[in-house]
Amino acid sequence: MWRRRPQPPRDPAFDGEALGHLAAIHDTALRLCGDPAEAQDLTHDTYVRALNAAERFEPGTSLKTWLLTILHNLFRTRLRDRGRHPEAVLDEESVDVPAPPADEESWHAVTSAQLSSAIELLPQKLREAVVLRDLQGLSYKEIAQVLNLPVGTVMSRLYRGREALKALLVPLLHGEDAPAEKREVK
Amino acid sequence: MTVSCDSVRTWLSAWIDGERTPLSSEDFERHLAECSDCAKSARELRGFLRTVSSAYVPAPVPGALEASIRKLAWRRSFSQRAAPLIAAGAVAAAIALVVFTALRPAPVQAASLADASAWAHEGLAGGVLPLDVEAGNADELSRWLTERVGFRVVLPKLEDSTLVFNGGRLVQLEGGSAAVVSFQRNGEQVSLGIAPRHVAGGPANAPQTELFRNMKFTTSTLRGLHVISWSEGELSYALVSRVPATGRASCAVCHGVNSGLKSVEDFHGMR
Repeated sequence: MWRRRPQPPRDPAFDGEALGHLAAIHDTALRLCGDPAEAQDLTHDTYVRALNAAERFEPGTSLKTWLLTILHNLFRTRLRDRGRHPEAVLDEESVDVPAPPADEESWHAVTSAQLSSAIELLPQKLREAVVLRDLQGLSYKEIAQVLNLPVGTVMSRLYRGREALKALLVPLLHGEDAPAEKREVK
Repeated sequence: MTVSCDSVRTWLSAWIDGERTPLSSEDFERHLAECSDCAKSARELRGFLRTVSSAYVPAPVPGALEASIRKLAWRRSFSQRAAPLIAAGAVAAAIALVVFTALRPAPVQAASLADASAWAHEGLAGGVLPLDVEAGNADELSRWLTERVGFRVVLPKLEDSTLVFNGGRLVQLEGGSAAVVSFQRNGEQVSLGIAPRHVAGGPANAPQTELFRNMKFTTSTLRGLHVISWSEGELSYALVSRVPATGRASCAVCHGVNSGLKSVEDFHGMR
């Protein structure tokens, strides 16, 4: 006979705190998939799952990290469902980023639009690490939890991602238009 | 002794990000004070990270998405807040059911139609036994009962203004089902049990019998109620009330004016 599983009482502040991370979750979803409609779906599904499983959240840990973990898992599941193997899509090894020729002062001129364009052009694996650390402020350990990776791999991807981001920003800073099409960073 | 440039470059990002590294902060600070190349790398990285941080503007959350998620959270929150009330309601309902069950007359599989009809009458009149169907119309009630008891129930029209249908209830006898029809006559509660003759049995409580036009009428007292029992054709009947079980008053329950049945005046006139 079907029986409803008893649920422990939820922290009344949970919903409010979870909603406080909505902008971060939506922004990360948008940068993960690059499509506004799909980003909305991902964000919605993330909150559906989180609110339904709120009793599994461990108080004292980062709710933002927990939500981002759910988001990332949903995203990978969607890739699998579409027949795209996550590891193949998120191939990092083909990326070889040369050191960017920019002096430290020039970075001050980067605009929000330029940053978004450059991040969008990053390979997926590197983009995840950069977004989670430099945009969402997660620690290396939290990024490792979200991506289910060793911390050492997170460090490696973050280093490479930042170098790639610099390389993508340099032409934008020199007045060149953002590439019309997404290109691989070599 | 200062650490090597390779070692500092390897862990520089982690140190600037505030992560733990194999090198101490003193190691970094001492090396950067002495090595201009590494110090330049550190300044560039800090500048780059400050720029990324300041240039980052989260994409605006679509209003419909935010509304949808807030609604979702509200629903979840409401259902959780309401859960104790729902549980309390369920407990109250369970208690009410237990009390109701305890107070109502014990369900019977009576040995006779007279016993079952008396039991049902007591419960119906006391308000602790509900009707299975409420109907003020003879045809409607006849149809409802016929569909459920396995024999044809034909009720008198009872167009007498002193007679009012309440409805009906099914009861179980040892050999099958019986229908109990509930009336009021001049405000007095009356119940008529109907069952196939072969399952009706007979009242065990000191019955008195009377023959009238080749029909045997049995009168008895059960639970303080007057019961008249008789059979006609394939069916048996038990009429239960506090009305005296003798004389024309008892017959008039069904055989009233415009009942469609033979007039009670005819019975007594023929006697």
